[in-house]
Amino acid sequence: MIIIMQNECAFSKIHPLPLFMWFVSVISFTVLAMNPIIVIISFIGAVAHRILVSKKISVKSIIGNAVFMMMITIINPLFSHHGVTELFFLGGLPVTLEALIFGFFMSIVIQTSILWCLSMSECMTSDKIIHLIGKIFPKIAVLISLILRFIPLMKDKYKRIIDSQTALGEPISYLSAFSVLVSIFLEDSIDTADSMKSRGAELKNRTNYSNFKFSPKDFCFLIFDVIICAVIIISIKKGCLNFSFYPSISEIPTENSACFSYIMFAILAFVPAAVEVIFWTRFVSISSVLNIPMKKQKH
Amino acid sequence: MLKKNIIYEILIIFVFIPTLIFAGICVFSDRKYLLISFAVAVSSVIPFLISFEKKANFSKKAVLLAVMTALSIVGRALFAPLPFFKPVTAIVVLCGMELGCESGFLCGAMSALISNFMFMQGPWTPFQMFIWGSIGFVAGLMSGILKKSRIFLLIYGALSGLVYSAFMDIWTTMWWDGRFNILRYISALVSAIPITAIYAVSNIIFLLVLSKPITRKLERICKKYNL
Repeated sequence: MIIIMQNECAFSKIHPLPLFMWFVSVISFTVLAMNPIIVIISFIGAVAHRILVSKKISVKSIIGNAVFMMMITIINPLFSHHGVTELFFLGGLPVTLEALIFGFFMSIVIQTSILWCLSMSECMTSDKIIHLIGKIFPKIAVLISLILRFIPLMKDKYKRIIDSQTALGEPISYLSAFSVLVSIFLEDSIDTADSMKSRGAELKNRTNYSNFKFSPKDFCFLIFDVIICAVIIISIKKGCLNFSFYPSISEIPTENSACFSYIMFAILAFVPAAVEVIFWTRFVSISSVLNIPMKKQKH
Repeated sequence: MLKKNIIYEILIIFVFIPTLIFAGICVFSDRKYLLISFAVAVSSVIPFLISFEKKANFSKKAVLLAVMTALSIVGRALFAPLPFFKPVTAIVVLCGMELGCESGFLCGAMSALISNFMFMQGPWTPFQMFIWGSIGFVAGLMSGILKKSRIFLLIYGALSGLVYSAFMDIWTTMWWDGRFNILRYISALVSAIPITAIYAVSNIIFLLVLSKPITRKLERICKKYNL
């Protein structure tokens, strides 16, 4: 049975390896393909996923993003003077239509990749990164989990040091509190190390605990991802998706092979949104049958 | 053991990196700079991860390194109200200076990786890992001079702030359109001058305040437990 937290997206329930591969492939095609159709498909997919996951979208963030995109669009022609269609001259240098359109294109690319990175940060949590790294570098995985454990401990201890300074009536010094923190943790670190060693942290062939199972579903998803990536890479290699902004804007490729890879990429980019919709409709129906009260997510 | 280690590193440097670069040139001819720099940043981190795997007396070193890295991340969180005013570089420099090149690199790289769990992961993570790691690595190489003279340490701190800013601007420029436009790079550098100044000044302040207590404590631990 899949247990899902309220503020988690259903897409993150996939095994970390295919999940990571999926994010890498989509972000790299968005950034590297330089094809407007691919980028627009990716943009719509990312926006759909963000809307489904975050549920509440503020007008402020939309306006902020729009301003950011406009700034990129306007700034590009000031630096790039390639292109044949001159709009006007600014300080003796031409401002071209091509550069303006390229700036708009790049603003969408950057916006899309930021949206995917937001989704990736939510889906690829630290335990998943540790699981992935732990397969190849088990000791680095131990190091990361140690660091992650120390952070809340340190924050807590820091607060206590400040509290005790206040209780003693001494003037509060944040830097001396930080210094005390360093001493305490360096001394304790050797105890931790001895305890780790005596429990067999240095033994060979030590296994790592992880809560992830590589199910046949995950394997299918991985294969599906690899096949679509291969199709798109082959069509990029063949030049089916070629599109150029300079010196003049070329036609958007619409041959059969190009359309095929657009459809393939669309399937890839809409996976998270589709997973979200399918999962939540099923989950809601089950919960209403079992009469589980559902709280709305609050931020 | 040592031989195997070297073979791995040679494999990465002479096989893995060129393959990635070649694949980048072949497949994505238009935006190859971005892909190549990304591949180089990722693969430069890998040898350090491998050499950490081969270490003897691993648990003590790991815990010590974890404490230093966690300190730098907690520092980043504690000083979050002041933008760009962070002790991360200072602690990475001190770590590299006291615990050696490799520990310095790992401390920097892990600080970048793990503090991005709290901020945001993205294609910039390997670049931050690489540049902070290199700051720690160079601090380890120059530990003799840095330990002797406090002024050199402060200068190194200020310089590493400048280098960090300049390097991340290279990444910003390439992220923009996949090419390296020198004009755009210069304008990015100029617009980032206030931030760069804050980086440099904050590094100097933190090194001034933290260098003595932290060095003393680290030296004491190393002496006491024979690390």
